[in-house]
Amino acid sequence: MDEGKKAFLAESSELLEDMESALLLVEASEGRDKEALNSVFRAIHTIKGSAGVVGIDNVEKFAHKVESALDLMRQGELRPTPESIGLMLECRDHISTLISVAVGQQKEMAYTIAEQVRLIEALEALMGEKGGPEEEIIEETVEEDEGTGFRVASDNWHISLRFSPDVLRNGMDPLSFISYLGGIGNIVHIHTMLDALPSLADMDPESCYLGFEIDIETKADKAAIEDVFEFVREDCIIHILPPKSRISKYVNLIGSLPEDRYRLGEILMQGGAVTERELAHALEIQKAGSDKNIGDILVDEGIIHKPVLDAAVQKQQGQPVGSKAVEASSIRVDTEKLDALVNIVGEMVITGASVQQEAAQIKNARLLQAVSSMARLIESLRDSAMRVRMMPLHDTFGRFHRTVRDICHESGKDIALEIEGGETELDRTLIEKIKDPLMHLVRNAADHGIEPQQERASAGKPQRGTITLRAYQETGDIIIEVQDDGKGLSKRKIEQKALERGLIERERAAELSEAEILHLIFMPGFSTAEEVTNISGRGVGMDVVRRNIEALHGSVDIQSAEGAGTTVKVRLPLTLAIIDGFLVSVGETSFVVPMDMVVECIELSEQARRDSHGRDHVNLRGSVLPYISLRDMFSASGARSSLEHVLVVRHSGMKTGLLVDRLHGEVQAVVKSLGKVYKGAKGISGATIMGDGTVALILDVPALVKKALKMQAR
Amino acid sequence: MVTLEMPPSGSGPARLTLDGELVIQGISELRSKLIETLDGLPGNIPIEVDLSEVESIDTAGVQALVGMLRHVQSRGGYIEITHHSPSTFNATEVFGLQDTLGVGRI
Repeated sequence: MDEGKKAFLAESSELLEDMESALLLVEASEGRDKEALNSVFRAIHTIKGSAGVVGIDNVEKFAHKVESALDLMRQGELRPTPESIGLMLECRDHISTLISVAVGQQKEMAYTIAEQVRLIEALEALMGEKGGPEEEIIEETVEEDEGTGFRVASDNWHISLRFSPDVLRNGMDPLSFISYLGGIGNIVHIHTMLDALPSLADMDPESCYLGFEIDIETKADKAAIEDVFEFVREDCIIHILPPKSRISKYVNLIGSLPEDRYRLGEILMQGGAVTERELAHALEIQKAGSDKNIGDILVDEGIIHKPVLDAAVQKQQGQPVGSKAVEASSIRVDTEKLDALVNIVGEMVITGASVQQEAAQIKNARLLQAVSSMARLIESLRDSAMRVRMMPLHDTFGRFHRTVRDICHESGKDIALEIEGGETELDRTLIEKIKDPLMHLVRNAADHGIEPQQERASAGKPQRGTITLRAYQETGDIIIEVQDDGKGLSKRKIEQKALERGLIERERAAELSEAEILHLIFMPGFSTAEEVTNISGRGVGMDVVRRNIEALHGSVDIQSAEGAGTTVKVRLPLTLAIIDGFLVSVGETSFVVPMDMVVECIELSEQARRDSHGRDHVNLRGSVLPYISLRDMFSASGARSSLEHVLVVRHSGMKTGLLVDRLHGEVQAVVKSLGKVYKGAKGISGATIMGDGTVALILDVPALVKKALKMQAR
Repeated sequence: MVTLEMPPSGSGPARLTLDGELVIQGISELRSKLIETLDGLPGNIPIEVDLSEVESIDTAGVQALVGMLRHVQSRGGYIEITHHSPSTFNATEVFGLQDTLGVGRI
């Protein structure tokens, strides 16, 4: 994907999100929120403009249709009804699909085309009801321009040609047409657009990649010029501007061509079609009509020289250069760059630790002091770097308004979505990965949790159901809750289903606690939906949700009261990149235990170990604590120490001991993934490089706790 | 239709001579031949292109010439067209590509 498209993709997905939330606001306010309607319009307008700049014509054309309808709505000629807003939302989704297709993230399917036809028809029907066809609107604006009477001074015709790729194969040669054109007048200037022409190795030599901007001095009329290109009419997009055309014609021309508009402007200027002053004016008109972000894309792309343009504009307007930069309070940064930064900071943490170790041996007071302040700085550097990756959950949560709205429309339910703690921050990568599981939970709540209005009314509940998305921090974890006030889960039904599916044995069923029964819904192959609906229950069950969350080192828990509602609680770590850990070792192997899971350390004497009679239990202040010997589990080599230690760890309320030889204390560990080969290794979630260069394995405490519980059950 | 002459003394530019018709008929062969020839050259030896024997050229031929220049320039090499024939000179003029294909102007 080239840079322009990449920037367009990033920009447009933000704009589409804005557009969606603004549309929902318009709907909620029944059209009274004019500012929301304006921002919908701005979003689609910018998408249209940028799509044109990066040459995604389909998106540009479709967005234009949508924009026309929105314009009518803005002028009050079209009422924002749930139906028309619904159509706009569908159009938004379609643009999103079109963009994914255009940037190659998605294959174009017949369905997409059919959808486009349907949406355009619906838009036209909508516009047909109120207001005239869009062509008229365009004419009107042109008329207005005429009123101002701003025309270029040039006495020459300007011809803009873009040939189709097939023109050469069809036996036509642009070279001869242009030579012939030279016969009916004096070609003052010609610029061959080589922008689209690839290097020889990437070229299909029989395709035409060229376009031309021509200024010609001639007595011939427009028809005569058109006649020159009569034979290639099918294979050519041609614009002919007569001498002293209105500047708006040039503005439209620049806007309709695939190349960068500023460069086009320069070419027009070189050819004498427009003067510098006219160009500045034209660009002003263009700028006023579109968002400045396109300019940013182009600067990123390295095509335009922003200072040059700004200077030209400034000359006309007396506006200070760079005032735009001041407005922007945030910048867009490539995630790759961010990851690289975090990586370097990670290496620095490691190096810092090794410097500290060395310094401790040298025992020079001044060195130690310097090293300790360096360590402090590195720590705050680490924290800042991590904070850069953090994003508030608000946007992610906000997107579920649409989900809930659509479900309401499909099912006729009345559901409100409430958001609490949207300012809670979470690592970017985690946010990306938690979206789908959350989506599933919200759909589940709306589809299976909340009852239809009548059912609610007869149960004495308010007709409007409520789904609450809540986020907060708890002991180094982020908790996200999806709560509904629906009918709750029927424990009897779950039990029955689990028996039917053979997920539990009949004898054991009676022994299960309520919590354990609820947890059955996370088992693979379980779905309580009695019928498969459009909304959820597509065979992807809660087990997938659980697996996805566990892959993020998180856990998921469920509480439900029949008749009162269900709460699903997702627990996630703040970040995955750097952890505070506790370093222990067995023989020569080092392990890191995530610090937030460490409860305490106790000594295990030879005697105490013998007392447990090989059952791997230890008496912890009167209660029985199962422990796992890391030596046995990982077959570690090296002599067993006479005094072993039990590190007590806790996960989701369960305590387990880990039997180790030595305790080394707190470390900061930069988590490195183990790669494909060790991906399946049980009990290990990653590795880290220590200050002295040795590798320590990071223990997967949740898995170990589970293992210990299983052992205990036996 | 593509001839390559290496510098006689081992230093100086290689000389690439194109002749005949640079037109859409046979343009694919020309493209492959050019890529093969250019990629077979050692290191970043400078290349001089002689078009004086070209009898005719069309749009496809012009595209191939520009593509050839870009092919070499994109890998940091130096290439220039040193001699034109009447037909290539004319095409260059019609397209206003003097800056790109002009003699010694690359």
